[in-house]
Amino acid sequence: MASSAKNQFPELREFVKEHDQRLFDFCCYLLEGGSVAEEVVLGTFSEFGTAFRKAKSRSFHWDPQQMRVELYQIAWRRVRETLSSMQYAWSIGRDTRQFKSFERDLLSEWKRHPEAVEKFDSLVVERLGKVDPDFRAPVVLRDILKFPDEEVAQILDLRWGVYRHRLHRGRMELKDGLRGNSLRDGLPAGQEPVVSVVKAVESP
Amino acid sequence: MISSAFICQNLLSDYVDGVLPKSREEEVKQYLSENSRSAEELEDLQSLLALLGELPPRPLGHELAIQITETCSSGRKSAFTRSRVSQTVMFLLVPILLFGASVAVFPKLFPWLTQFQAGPKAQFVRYFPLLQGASEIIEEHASWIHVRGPFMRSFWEEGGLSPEEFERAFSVTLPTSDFGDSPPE
Repeated sequence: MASSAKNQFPELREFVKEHDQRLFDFCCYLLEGGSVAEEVVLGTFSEFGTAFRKAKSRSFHWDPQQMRVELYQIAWRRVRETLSSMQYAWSIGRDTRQFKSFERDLLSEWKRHPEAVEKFDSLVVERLGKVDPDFRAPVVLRDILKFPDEEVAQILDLRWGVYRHRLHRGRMELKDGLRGNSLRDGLPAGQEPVVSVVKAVESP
Repeated sequence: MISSAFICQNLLSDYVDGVLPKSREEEVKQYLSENSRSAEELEDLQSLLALLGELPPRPLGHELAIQITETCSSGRKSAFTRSRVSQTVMFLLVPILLFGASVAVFPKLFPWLTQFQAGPKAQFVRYFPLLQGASEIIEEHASWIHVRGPFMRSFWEEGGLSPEEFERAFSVTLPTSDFGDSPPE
């Protein structure tokens, strides 16, 4: 049955192949966890497949942009549901110490070592996780996954002004987060950090 | 006209993305050339965007990719997702708990439940079986014996074996003695 469905909708298969990695990235950046993200991705694709077949059976034609928007709308709804349940669980008592040790100025350091981006990867993602999901989602879709503005506004179901505001606030929060405590302590930007990410990684 | 760094900072994202109207863009550009702090903010924002653009994709497992393709193609929903299991458990557990609580609090509302309870009645059956149907079985046995009893005569009631019968059945030829006397008749 599955094989017949595969043969029936080759465009669906192509679309899934094109977007599985991007959707997985989207969920990972928003949910900060691989296993939860996997579950959300699977659920999203399952729901999308059902919606696609229903549309086909009613002879609606979906263009690629419409398919993208539909897929990420489902994902965003599921991510919000998951986040709300996770926050409920976290309120019982969560160890947040790792989120508070932001002593390094990652942004200035990355400016000096732009070639070592993979060494900043996990640290940047960790600080991205500090940004509120409502402000994080536009940043992830627009700046990391490179979606056009109109599609992001459609996916998040926001008016243009609200979308631009959230995007800007997300970027500013992330920028401040990457600057770390140097902003809070009034250190000048661009000062050599006490513990360098690149050196710390290279030294052992 | 832009009057403060705060207003300029709020326009930076739109300026970088190029969505400001032409006149507003010129104003921002002019303000940035005059104000070094806002220019630094712009530089930070541009480097942030460059950093985000270069982040590598999250590692997606090969098995997960196959699973995604199959799930999407077949349209099957995974039956044992965490949310589905918890929904099912809640769906079953809540009515059961409500029913149990109401039985415990208001037992008189459920009189039919008492027949499932192993209370004093079960003990009564155990100690007085004749009152609970065992007498019928015993009576049946008794009537059977009463009807057939007269025709069932046991071996000893018939008188056993006569001496002749005994000798016929167990005839023993004793050996003659060396003195020539025969055994007594």
